[in-house]
Amino acid sequence: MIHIDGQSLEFREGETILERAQRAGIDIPALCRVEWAYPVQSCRLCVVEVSGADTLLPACATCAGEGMTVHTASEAVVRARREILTLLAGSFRHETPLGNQRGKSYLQELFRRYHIPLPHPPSGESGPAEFPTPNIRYHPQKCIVCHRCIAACREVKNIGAIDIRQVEGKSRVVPDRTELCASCGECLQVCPTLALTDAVGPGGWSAWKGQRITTTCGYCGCGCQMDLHLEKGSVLGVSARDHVGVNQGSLCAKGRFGYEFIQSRERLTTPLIRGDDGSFREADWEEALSLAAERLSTLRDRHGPDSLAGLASAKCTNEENYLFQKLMRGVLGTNNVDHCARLCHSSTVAGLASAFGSGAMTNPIRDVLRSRVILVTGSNTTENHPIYANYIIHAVQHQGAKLIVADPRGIGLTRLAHLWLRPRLGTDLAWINGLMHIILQRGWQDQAFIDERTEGFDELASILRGYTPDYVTSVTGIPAEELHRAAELLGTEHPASLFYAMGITQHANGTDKVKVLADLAMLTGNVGVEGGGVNPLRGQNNVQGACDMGALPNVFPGYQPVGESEVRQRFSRVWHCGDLPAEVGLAATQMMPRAREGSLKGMYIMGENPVLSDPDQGHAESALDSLQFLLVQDIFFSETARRADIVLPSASFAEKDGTFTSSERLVQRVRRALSPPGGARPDLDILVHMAAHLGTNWGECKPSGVMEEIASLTPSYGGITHQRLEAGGIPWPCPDREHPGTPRLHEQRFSRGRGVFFPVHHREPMEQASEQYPLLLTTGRVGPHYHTGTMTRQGVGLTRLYPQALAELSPSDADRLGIGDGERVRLTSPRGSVEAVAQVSERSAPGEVFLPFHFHESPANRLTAATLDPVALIPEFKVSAVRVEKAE
Amino acid sequence: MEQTLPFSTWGRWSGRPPNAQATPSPSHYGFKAFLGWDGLVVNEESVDVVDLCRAYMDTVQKESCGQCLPCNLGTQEMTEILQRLSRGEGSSEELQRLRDLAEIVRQTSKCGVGLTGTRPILDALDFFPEEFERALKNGVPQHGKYVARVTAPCTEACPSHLDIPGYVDMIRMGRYGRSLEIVREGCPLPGSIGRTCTRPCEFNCRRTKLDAPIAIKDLKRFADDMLHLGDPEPEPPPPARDESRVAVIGAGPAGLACAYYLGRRGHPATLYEAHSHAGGMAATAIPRFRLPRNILFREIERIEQTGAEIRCNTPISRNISLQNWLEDNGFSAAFVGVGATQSSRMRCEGEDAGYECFMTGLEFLNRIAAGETPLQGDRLVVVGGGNVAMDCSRSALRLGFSEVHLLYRRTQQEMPADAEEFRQAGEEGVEFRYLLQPVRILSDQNGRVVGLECLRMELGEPDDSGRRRPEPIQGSEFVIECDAVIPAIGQTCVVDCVLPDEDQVQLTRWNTMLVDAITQQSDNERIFAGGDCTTGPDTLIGALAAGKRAARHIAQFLETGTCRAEPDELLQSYISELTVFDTAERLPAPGASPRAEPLLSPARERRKDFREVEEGFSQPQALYEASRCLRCYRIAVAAI
Repeated sequence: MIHIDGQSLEFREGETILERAQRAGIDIPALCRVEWAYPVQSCRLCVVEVSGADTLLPACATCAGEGMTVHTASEAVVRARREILTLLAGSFRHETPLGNQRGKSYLQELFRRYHIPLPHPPSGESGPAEFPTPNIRYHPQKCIVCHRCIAACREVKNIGAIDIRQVEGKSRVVPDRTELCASCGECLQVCPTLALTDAVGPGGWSAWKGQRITTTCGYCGCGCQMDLHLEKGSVLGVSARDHVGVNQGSLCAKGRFGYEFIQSRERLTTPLIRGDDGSFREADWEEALSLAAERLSTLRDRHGPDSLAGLASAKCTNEENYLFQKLMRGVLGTNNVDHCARLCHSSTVAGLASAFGSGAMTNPIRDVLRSRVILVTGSNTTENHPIYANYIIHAVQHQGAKLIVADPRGIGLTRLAHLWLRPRLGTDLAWINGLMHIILQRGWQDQAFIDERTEGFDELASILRGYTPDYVTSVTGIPAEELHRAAELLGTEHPASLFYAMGITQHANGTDKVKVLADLAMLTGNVGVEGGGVNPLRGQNNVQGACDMGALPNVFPGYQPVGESEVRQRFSRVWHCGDLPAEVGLAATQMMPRAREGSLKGMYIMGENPVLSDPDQGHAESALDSLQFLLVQDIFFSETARRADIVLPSASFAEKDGTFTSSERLVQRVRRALSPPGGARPDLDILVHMAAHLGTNWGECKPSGVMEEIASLTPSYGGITHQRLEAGGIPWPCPDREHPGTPRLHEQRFSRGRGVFFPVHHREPMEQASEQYPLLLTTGRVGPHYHTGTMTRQGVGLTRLYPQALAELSPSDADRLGIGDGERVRLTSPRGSVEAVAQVSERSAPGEVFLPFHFHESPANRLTAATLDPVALIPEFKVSAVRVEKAE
Repeated sequence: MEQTLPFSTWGRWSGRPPNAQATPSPSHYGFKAFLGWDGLVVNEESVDVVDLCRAYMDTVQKESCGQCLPCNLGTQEMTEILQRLSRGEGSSEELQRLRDLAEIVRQTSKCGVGLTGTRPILDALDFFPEEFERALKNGVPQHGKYVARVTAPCTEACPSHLDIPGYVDMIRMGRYGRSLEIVREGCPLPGSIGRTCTRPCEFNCRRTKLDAPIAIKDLKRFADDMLHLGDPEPEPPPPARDESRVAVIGAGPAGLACAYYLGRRGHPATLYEAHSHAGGMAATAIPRFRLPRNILFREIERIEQTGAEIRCNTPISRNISLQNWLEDNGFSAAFVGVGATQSSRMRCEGEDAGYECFMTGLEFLNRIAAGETPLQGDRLVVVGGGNVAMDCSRSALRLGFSEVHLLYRRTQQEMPADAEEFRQAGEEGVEFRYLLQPVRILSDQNGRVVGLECLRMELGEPDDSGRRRPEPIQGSEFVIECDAVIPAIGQTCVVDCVLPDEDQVQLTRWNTMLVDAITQQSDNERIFAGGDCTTGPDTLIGALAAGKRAARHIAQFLETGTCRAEPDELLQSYISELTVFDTAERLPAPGASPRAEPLLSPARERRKDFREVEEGFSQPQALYEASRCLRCYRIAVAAI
């Protein structure tokens, strides 16, 4: 029992006075507190009087003790707080906040609460001081040296790019390891004054003017909740709220600084029609839609519905994707609908659906805080899912989880890992089988789990016999000792969570790789448990949702197969249309070859840029050029739009209402903050009008109404309504209005009943290094950019962080080829060649090159091959043979 | 001066009544006054208290790390007030402000800098108000000369006075390279010391009063373990200052430290080592399962990179004058660090009979280190209660002895071995047998050991060391049957590289060299010494500290021709006399942060071979452990 201000309270072991007081609703000022960091203990404003102590003690760092008597607002305490605040008030150049901003004003509130007069700020201000990122300005005169930024950078992000040092006798923030700075702005977020300001937008208090609209970030699949700060129809900046959403106040460089594209002058504002001379002319909506409808229906009538195909978009909302596939299936009559999930996680959907019965992330990311072991493979988490990486960092740094990273590249997480397995490119199946071999041999498998919940174990066990450490070492290059250590960690510590992304899926045997990861998780009893799970990290804001909505050639919303007549009947009844097609349609990666050979005649592409994102760019370009009609709907005049016959201007995520489904299966609201520029319209409106021009009247469609229709047809979304989502996201499956949602899958039973072990053998990548092409290329993303760069390369914020494509070469290869850091190089594969700038880095293993695919002037996908996984039809983006030489 | 001299408030804050007569006098160290974390001591009329306060606050402000607001801002303002005051520009409002600030900083700061840093200012204001009044009018006529020192209870307890709060804080900040740099200021063997130190610091850790001491040793090792995360390369040794060369006799810890710090001062040394490799006791007597050889040798290599040349298998001749040898070989000075390598005798019958399977602990360990298996059998008796006895016992288990009995003539309480070593030995299966004294070694007709006759003891009155003296119980003799006996009851010195008379060096009756406690210089101005050969068997860190001190003064001697303790060293000595760790202090709030424990491989596994037993901290463990540090910095200045 502890006695705080006269209340006698029970306390938990290790609980601090501050935590206990807050639980009891007693407010103690805590300026320097940073969630997820050890107590910073710099502000000393939380000092309290503790019986028996001859000085005041900080409530944030003093543990509650038996029989302790605490006064949180005694005269001495208040006097001390006032003294500290007075010292503070006189020490920095403060500015009065504007009326309606929140969060930033905590310090100002304290000044008010403790009646501290603010002296007039000294006039004149010297310029901002050096800071590790150009996107943030540091104003030392406004800095109270509270250390929050330091703690956030070091502990929340595991970076430590800033430090406090004395400069001219005064403490201030200084850059320390600038090269590590990710420009995430975590420091900016936690700064309680205006010492750190956004250098992309207007900065200072002006960034806090006007309205704030909370919405879901439009970049990766983390599903961060963020606030757009708006004034007069323009975005002033972005911030996050401390206790809201998966990100809990954190954002990454893209989320925080990548908002310039919304108001870019490059945005499409009016429909465009290609004339006979090949050039585009502006048109009004009526003309563009009529013409598009006419061309589409002509092709359908002349060549049949399957001469048409559509690409929906992982960037659009669930409601829009739902309507898109409804249009393709119900109005145009074809199942030829797909989207870019084909290129990222189609192997996950196929692999996990076979093994577990559901192809999505099994556990919420928060679960990783309970993991004892974490295996991350083929995911550069800190760059591509930075907010999920926060959780992994916290699990390792604060909860003592052991991290195993298996990746051919040196990535941010290898700095944190207990064990870094570095396999040769494309040999993942071998090492995963190798780990399972050792686990079985040592008897570390979870036999009870295997017996009760799975099938196919014996077959797995029999093929694993061949995966001896010696063999696996010879295939993968991973030393046997490291294989043993990894197997021991996974085999003896429980629970263990598995995280993976494109490094596993984008292979010609991607589906098999996903299946063996599922095998590993089941073998060690790590499915359906808190802190366990098989967790594919989804790359786009709504790639999960686009799949859920049936923007796939084989399934209706909710993964209901097109081949089942009962399902088709249910949909046609609600859609008021005739018979729906029963044949599985074309996958995105099949559309291009069909277009080139001529059987596919027309395409409708909504918000995708296959010219840059598809493998073998030359092939993709000629395929699109062979089409008789190409309709593109986008916010920018992308490389794909340039090849269209008609281009329709659409709205960005900030200009529409609807929902996105994050990687965690969390359905969250997207809120309209702005009007689309010029004549641009939300995709949902365009689709409704397109349907009308094609002769189908969907009536008045609002996003919330569309969600009701989705819920009525999609069991896993059955209980989801926009109204419910106002209180926060809901993870599917959510079958009815009373259901709270399902954060963790497969808890009692697998979605398909029993989990299935798939015995799969290792196979070498389709393309091998040769004399002519001696290096292996792997492609991927970098932190500041996103996919084909259409959004992130607008404006200065992200561009200046990473202005051009860098080809990462190992020092030994660079040496051998006589290539220096920063020199221009040419990469050539059997498909073509591109130029980029060499970056000599230990991140690449000898014999391997990395090139990001964001840059149209260095299009990595001119080099990749359209070699497909036979099941998921995903291309092998991760291994292509190339030659690298100095560019003239 | 309004107070009677000598004047002292020392001890006021720990609740002891100030008593000038009972406070050690700073004048013994050549100081006129002393002002520090616990009060002030004034000895001479000529001291200007206001100026003393100004000099002190300058130091406090410089030390204020900027990690908490009251100390960062408060000490800054206090310093400014005192500076204005000493220029005669102060006001009485400011005097009041000075007092208020001192109070608030003392009340609310995060660490020792602020919590104790302003106390003596309050004392000065209380007891010397007229001096401050005078300064209000006239300022301070002239600045005096002062010497300052920053310490902490742990730092004070460390023979090498490592800035422990400093490097622990760097670990907390994730700055492992910088942390290691701080460690290397006082210890050139962080990885070795981080594994084997007897850690006097931890026994003087104030956190003990809350829950448990900081795991300082393990944190030091952690910083070294993190070398692979981009440890800064050793700086190239500065160019040699002149032609003068220094010989270091013995490449043990003391000699290595001396050479390392000489190198950093621009005086590369040549080390003469009788063994086949450097490292001294650390290489030959500490088993690999506590200190893997690659760790030690890597650190020795680093010392070589500072310019030290190590000549192994090169004993310097005995029975010739060192002074002559230095001249013959062109050396300007020498450091003797030959250790205490002779095993003490048990005074037990049969000790000198040359029995098979009887050997000293040191020989046993040396031969294992050399790759031999010196003894084999089932049951072994080790005699002694120190770390060497523990190491012998644990090594013997690893050689395959199924039973190891460790005999000690007192009880566990009096055992000098490190508690952690004792615990690990017990876990591995060493059997401890207390209150037994060996009296006779028994052998068979082939001269092979078959048993040890012992006498039971009981504890009597305390002896000089304060431990209760063991006394034999008459007629209690009995025999422990065994296959081998190892005495490990201590070492003595044999300093045979000097000739006392010809070299004008004094040896004590324990055969150690007599040197100045601060400068490590012997009566012969060219000959310095340190480590076990001056102290008798002592700790590794003690030897490193002596080597470092000697390096400073050898350099001083080479550069100036004289050699004497500097003011900061005298201040250090004075502080040692005052003591820093306040054993009587009680901290009010309980702590609830248990100490992090490094991973140990399971006892059953580890006794199978000589692989390292401790795995060290993981990153999160280290971060957590470092964040437990209270940073009990203490600051003092003395007027010269």
